[in-house]
Amino acid sequence: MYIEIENTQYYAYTASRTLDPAKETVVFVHGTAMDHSVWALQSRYFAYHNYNILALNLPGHGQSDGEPIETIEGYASWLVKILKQTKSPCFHLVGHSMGALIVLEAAGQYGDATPSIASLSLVGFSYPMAVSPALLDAAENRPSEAYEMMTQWSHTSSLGGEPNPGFWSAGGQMSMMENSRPGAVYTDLVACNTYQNASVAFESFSSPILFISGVLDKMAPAKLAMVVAEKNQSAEIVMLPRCGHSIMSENPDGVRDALNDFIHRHQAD
Amino acid sequence: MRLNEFLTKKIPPTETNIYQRFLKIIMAKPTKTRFDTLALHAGQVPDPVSGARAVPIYQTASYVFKDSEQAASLFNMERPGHAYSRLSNPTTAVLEERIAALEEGVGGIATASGQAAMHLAIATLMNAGSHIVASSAIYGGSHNLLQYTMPRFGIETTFVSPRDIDGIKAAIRPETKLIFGEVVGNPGNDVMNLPKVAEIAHEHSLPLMIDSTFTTPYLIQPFDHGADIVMHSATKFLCGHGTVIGGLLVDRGRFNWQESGRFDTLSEPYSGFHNMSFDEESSTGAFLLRARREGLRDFGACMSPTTAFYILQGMETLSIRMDRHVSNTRKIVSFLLESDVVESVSYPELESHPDYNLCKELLPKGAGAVFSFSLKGGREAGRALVESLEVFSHLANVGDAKSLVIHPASTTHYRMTEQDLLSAGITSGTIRLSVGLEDIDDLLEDLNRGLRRAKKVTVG
Ligand SMILES: Cc1ncc(COP(=O)(O)O)c(C=O)c1O
Repeated sequence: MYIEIENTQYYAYTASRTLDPAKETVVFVHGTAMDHSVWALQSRYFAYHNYNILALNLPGHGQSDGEPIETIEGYASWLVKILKQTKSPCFHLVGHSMGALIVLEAAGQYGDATPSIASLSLVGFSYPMAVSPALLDAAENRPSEAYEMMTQWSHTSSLGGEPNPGFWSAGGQMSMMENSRPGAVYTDLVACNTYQNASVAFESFSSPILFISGVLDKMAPAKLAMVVAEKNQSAEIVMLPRCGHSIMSENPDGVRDALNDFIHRHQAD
Repeated sequence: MRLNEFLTKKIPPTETNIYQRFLKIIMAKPTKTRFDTLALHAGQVPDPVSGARAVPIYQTASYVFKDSEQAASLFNMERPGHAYSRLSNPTTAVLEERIAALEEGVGGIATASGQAAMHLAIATLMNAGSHIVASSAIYGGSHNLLQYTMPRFGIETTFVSPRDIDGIKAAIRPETKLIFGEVVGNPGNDVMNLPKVAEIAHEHSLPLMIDSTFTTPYLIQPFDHGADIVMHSATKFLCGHGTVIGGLLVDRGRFNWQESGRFDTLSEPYSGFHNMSFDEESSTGAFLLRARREGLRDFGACMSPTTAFYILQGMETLSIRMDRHVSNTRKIVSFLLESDVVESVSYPELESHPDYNLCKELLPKGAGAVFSFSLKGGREAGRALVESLEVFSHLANVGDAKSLVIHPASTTHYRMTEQDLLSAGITSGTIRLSVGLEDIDDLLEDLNRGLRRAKKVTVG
């Protein structure tokens, strides 16, 4: 479906289901130069298990109009507008990589407003989310090379062994990034690299937090997520073995089960 | 300690240093895993239960569900996995992933034959009333399907010479859904100008599907030249040993089905699968999802796991075999050019071939191992040559490790008049070879014997 904000159309995958205002809504936010399809195997599950889902395309990504935004704060205030426009008893925010920073910052901006953000799941998260100079340079000047770097760093093995029959995950990531708007990858990476507001954000809401990290994540090292998680009394952490940053395709069941367990325990009612 | 304090002040400097070092060292430009390694490994992790190094043949029709919840979510695409081998199978899935890795696509689908792959692509993309623009220089079986059989289901094809770029453009109609051709066509080895044809296709918001059977991903990756879907008869060089029949489709995941506006099968809700709009389900995998969820499910032309195993085993040695196929072919081509019984040799690496320059550009590693030549003595000479060969096997196939020969005018095209043969680019003296991996000297001696027989028949 499309959601209109200030005369611009933004796309959200709902698994072809109409939103039911009585159901809690799980909101999925993708990462750098990606789109909603990265959540295919997780979002569809929630849509068929008593939740509404909105697997969003960020501005200037996938089927959404508008332009990519240069800051995490900018993306987050856009996300808050989406939430304010959606009728639901509460929201469960799920973000991956840059999307994890966005949902974190959005939760900070939204605070403890109603309907509440009942839970926050940060997948493939690290803070800081520093981007290597080599990658930033490639993203700005030779985007295909940047897609290649990110695809390789994101996958634990360069040989595949995809759980989803018939798919080659590295090829999928490459094509998705090649399909992104010119400039999106650089804008997004700059947003990740310059984001410094996590500490303020974490202090500005009281929703329970789940961290899901791949033990072998090279893009957002699990260690950095752990360090942050351990300092946050209420946070839960799930470390998935044998997978890296491309965790939703390398271990779709692990991610879904962790989300399902956490979100289920934090339903509003 | 408060989180805030930690984040603002208290990250130990050593940790930040480690992170910075990590960024610089680990995240230097990675090297890409190369073709031969992918051909041997892509898509397989050693069997988690037995540790088996080779790809196990999962010879099973179905899979025990953990519980009804898991069963339901498998069928509803909420979970990856296997439910029934018509839809997917672990052995076949390795092959699908491997061909996608070698072609640099997003995924693949294995089918019962090359013909089934072609039919699956058509059935996935279009309905009755649709239209295809196809190269006229394609495999006879593909021609039959498009010319005679698909029209019974309301799908028409216009055939255009692959060299007639303007003709291809002119043949596109509002109801056209696909442009189709082979990298190296049949029987004259016409090379399709993939970049040009892809440009025309994309100008008209149409996908280009390329049959790369004769070339394999080792000689060319059609996606690099603008193709959107690649199909293979895996029966041929991919398997490479003439043991099984199989087909493969690979999607590049770059074609925008929705923007094109021509593909309601991919961009409209499908009531046969929970109103799924496939291009919403996945921005890169829509074609493959529908092909599997509808095409394999309903038409059922799936590949058997044992077949997949044979093809995987063949693909392990693809590059070594293709290099040898090509080098043997080049030597035979040179040899035939010297013969006084041979009227002409058609191989795109020859300067005399109309696609010589294009071939050099698109196929620097070689133009494959299937080509034709014409004997001066017509039908009789052709028959004599074929019947006197010992190492070359007389049969209807290509892409075997063993060398193969056929005389179209007395076999596959025997019902055709001289006129019809000519319009198919064949003469009564045309011989087609598929050069194998035998010792080149034995192949040359065999051909020499055949040419002497052919000469005898001609001269009398
Ligand atoms: C170029 C080409 N495409 C497709 C096919 C059909 O493949 P199969 O025989 O596996 O159905 C063939 C078979 O000869 C072929 O040569």
